[in-house]
Amino acid sequence: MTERVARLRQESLDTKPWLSLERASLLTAFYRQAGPLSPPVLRARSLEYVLANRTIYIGAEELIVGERGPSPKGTPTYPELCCHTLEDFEILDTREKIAYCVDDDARRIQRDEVIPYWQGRSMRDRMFAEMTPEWKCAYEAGVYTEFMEQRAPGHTVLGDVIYRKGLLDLKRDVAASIAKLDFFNDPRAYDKEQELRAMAIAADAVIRLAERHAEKAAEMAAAESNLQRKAELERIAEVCHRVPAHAPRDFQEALQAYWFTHLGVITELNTWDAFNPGHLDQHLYPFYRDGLASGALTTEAARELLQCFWVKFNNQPAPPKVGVTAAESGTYTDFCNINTGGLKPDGSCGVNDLSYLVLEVIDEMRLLQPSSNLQLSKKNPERFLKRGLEIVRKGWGQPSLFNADMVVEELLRQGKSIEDARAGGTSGCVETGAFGKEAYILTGYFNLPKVLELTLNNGRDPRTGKMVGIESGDPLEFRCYADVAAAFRRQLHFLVEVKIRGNNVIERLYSRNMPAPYLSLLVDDCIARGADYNDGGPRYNTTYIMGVAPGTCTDSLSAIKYNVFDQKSLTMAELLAALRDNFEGHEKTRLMLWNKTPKYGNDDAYADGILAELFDLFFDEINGRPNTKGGEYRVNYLSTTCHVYFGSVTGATPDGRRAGEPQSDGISPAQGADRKGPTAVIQSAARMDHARTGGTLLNQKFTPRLVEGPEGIEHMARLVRSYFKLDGHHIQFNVVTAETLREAQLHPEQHRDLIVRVAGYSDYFCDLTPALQNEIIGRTEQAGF
Amino acid sequence: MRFATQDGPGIRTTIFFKGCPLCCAWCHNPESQRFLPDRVYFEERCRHCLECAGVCPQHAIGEVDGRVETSDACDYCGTCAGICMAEARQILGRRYTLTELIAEVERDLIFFDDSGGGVTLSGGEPLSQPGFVSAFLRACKEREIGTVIETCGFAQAETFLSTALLADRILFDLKLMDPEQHRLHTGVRNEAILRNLEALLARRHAVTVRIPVIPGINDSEEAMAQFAGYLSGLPPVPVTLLPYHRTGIAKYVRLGREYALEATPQPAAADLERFREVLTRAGLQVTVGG
Repeated sequence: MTERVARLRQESLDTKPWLSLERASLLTAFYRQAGPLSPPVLRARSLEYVLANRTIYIGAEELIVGERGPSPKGTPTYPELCCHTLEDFEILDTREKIAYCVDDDARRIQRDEVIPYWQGRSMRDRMFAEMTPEWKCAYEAGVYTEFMEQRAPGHTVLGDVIYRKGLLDLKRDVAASIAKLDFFNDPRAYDKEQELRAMAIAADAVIRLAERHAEKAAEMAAAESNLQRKAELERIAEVCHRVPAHAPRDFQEALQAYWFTHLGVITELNTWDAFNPGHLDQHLYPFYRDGLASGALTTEAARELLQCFWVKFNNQPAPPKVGVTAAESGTYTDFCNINTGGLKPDGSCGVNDLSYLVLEVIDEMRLLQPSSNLQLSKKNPERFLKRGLEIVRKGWGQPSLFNADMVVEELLRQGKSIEDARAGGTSGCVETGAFGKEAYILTGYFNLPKVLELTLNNGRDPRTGKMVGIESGDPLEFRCYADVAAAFRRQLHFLVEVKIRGNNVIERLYSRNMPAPYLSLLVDDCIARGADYNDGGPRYNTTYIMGVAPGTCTDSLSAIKYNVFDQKSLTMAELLAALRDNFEGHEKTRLMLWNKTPKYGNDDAYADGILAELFDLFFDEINGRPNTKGGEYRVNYLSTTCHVYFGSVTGATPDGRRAGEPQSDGISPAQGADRKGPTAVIQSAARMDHARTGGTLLNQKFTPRLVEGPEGIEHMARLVRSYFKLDGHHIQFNVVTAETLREAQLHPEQHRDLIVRVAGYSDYFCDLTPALQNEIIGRTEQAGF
Repeated sequence: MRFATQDGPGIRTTIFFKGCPLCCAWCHNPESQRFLPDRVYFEERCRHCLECAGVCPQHAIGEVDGRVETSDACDYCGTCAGICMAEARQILGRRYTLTELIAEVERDLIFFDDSGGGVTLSGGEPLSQPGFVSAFLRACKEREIGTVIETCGFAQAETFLSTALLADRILFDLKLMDPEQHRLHTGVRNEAILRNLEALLARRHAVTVRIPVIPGINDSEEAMAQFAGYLSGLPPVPVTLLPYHRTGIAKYVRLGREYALEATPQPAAADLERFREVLTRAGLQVTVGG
């Protein structure tokens, strides 16, 4: 990495995130004086006002320019979505983890300008005012979370449009769409016209943002004495003058065009998962290839530009969340997840020379953001997979690995065209989407073990004593496992409907009050339809509910079926008493449930069969229900860190898990439940019908020794290819650290699945003697990358 | 054991056959030495509830000075393991029918196919059960599952050859060249073992010779020279040096057995390198580790 990149990277790592009230202050000033405008035009004009008046920053040595805040790590707030209280600011400033510096000026602006205007007007306030008592009750109990509570729908990825068209071209498309409006026969013609006018205003607003950077760069160039930097600044001015108004002509323009696009989207609203260039290697390849051919670009120059681009993502921490939302995903990561490899729209292999360069950049930069993943198709070469695994092995959690062929199958099942499916990929954590053409909105995590807990308490939450669910029957009256399953289904049905009723109201609140005209310009077919991203404008509109902890829930159902009804080693009354007492005084029962019961993750037909039934229950309850935007509800399975929050509000579960302990993550087996190694986990996970989801997340833990050497890479590669042959969606290898091993020593039950390479063989870490464990911890520290 | 990656190519399932005609002091699979089931006790998991003592039909279990002890009256029936919810007591070793074992192995077929892996027969000594092993190897061949046998080579010549030839590769252990030394440390002399190795090589079968390097037992200059002299006189065969490691000690504790090599250190890297050099100079192809 060049000295320039090293310095920019270090600056990004060293700068602490801080709250910038500039956006909130400008937005509030605009809203106070804004006349009676239609919602889309109001939003577009507010974006225009913010971008025209905000601070323009160009850092020393930068080649790609533009920040969301006034300088790196300056994080704006979005009071129109969620208006922080002064107490929230205090917590953000002082909390130990994921803190944001808040200065006195920020507090003053929030107190004097922002809160007086936005309190009661923010989307969060409006949303909660519209929710039913049942919704609030289940929400507070931790049955589900609500994504739109503090951030706007986003969850989308850019296609190839900005590399083909400048914003001026898109404005021409908008004008053509306006010209086609039929005010005589289309009752929505006026709404469409307002939306389209808003898109044109938003296009101009972002062009103006780029122009302001061009002006600033030109000024700095004029004052610059260092000739090399002067030339760079002049080039930056030229680039910013050109893009995104016009389509990019070369590699640097393409990167800068994306970056302004990104800034436009994340300034307009605080979109979930920020924004994402998707198949960056495929989009940039023509610029790279042509640049090398003409001699205007070298590989090293391309690498440096990419690395400068990478730093830009890391400079933008996720805007701060508060309360439950912070607990469910409290992180600086804004979930921008760049796709590499996969397929081209024509179905051919999408890996090119630039894919390998991107992997090198990921390896060298080692940054939290952007996150990165490999889209691995059966058509992609081994070299590509192995290069990715070499990075995975270093143990900092990137890149994750996706089955590109399965992603296509999932999208096809949802009714996408084959070309749109192949141009798709994954974003956020593991979510499948048709890039550039789909709004695929995640609306909340859904706590499956909690549904079972409510079922076992006839609808009442034992933690609070409140009636959260419905009366699904006294569990002491259950005569067979089918009775349990039927009661669970009734409970699930009720709670899913409570959630969906809320979702459908929130969707309407967003479509009416919080359109996103700039984002709408970028996603097909919003312009053609004259409809907003948040109102069914995209070609595809999908609403997701994410099942959390199928592992814990499966094991709990298995424990009831096996012990209470098959083996009759425990009565329902005994089980309920043990759960009520959080297993205190019932340790033998707990050990039986934990050790002597079939568990998901062991290639065990008994437990895996229950997983398949649970999958069908959740799927049948949600999949295919209409949303309010002409699209449908779908399921996926990921938990980010929400399984920890959900665990904290869920009592003891029949799988032997104690109250408050984390639930299983993604579709991974419960912590310590899988005891037969990675091939058994993969076989179990493959029992889930991934094709009927919009993404699943499987984590596998290894110690560095287990994956060392060329054989280690080879074994990982074979596990990945085999899982993908079995139609798995995603797998991630976590190469564990000595710290994790120490934690496993303290809490062996939670880490029974941890395999370590001992010497000529591998063993479960928790089965080793303390002395040997210590030796392995020592070794792991040595081998620590 | 699934996802075994050290005993042959690719991703493998290793089957440990119980029972071995040798009794090497350094054995790291002591639970596979007996031809009958073994009983293991994980003291760190035990909650001292003594329910095991209550259910034991032989009354073999009792608490002595705060430790749960099992007397020789134990007949390995496994009742205690069944009742022990903490899994502190387990019985190792069970009977498999051919059908059961094939079904178990076939679970990971997709991984074998993709990785060029398969099944490794280990132990104990798989060739002590030639009838079952032959039938199993034939069944694997029919199913296109690759097979590797790990053997100490001590078996009756004819059944050894006819069974071993059914496997794709033999990992053949050589412990010591001197017959008397061999008897001293493993319990048997090695003439039959060497004859079996020579017979395999004469049939040009795929063999890797593996030498466990045990400090103070087979790593003297003289022992090395004997290995080099013998192996260089055979048809070409790759050699792997397996450095002695002490990680099996925990198993001895759980089995309630003494570990004879308490004082033996792991071989130094320099000593291994010297060993490798001696063999390489004799024209052999040598790798270290496994």
